[in-house]
Amino acid sequence: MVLHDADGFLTQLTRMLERSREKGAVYVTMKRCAFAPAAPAAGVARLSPVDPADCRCLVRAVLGSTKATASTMVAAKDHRRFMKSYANIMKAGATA
Amino acid sequence: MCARVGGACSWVYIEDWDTFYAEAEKLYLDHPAHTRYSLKYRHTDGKVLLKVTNDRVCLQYQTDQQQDLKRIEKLNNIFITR
Repeated sequence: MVLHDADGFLTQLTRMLERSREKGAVYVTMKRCAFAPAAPAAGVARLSPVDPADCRCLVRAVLGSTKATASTMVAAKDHRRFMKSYANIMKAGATA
Repeated sequence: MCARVGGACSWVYIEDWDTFYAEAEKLYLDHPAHTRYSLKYRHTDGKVLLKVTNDRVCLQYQTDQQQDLKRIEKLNNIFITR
């Protein structure tokens, strides 16, 4: 599973939507991840309360027919820009 | 929560958007770390299938309506921004 930055992920998503026109489906999954990637995992059974500003959202896209995957972590501060671009891509992909 | 069981199939979809949205938001706010939101889009059918689950409760909604795209955006925002 390749982890992209936000722009790279959106490029991959656009490509997947184009490739799925004739057959197949595109799956997009979103889930919140309330941890910092560099945080040590050993011995931590429960995460301490996380500041909402630290929460990130994992977004994954899979092209069903080829099993190609792409993912990205969206930080709280980038979410507005990401959501605008994501909405535009989905509208373009769904309506054309 | 209104749901329709489709024949022998085990998929259960919520038919009303407002109910689906309210239940999905509630599920996410109750279990933000365990709830995930999936979207499946098939261009050949023109259908979008939404699933919100915390691995205990599963809420599903499907649509082929253009006007639902705006509503789906609203749902997207819950998961990204909160």
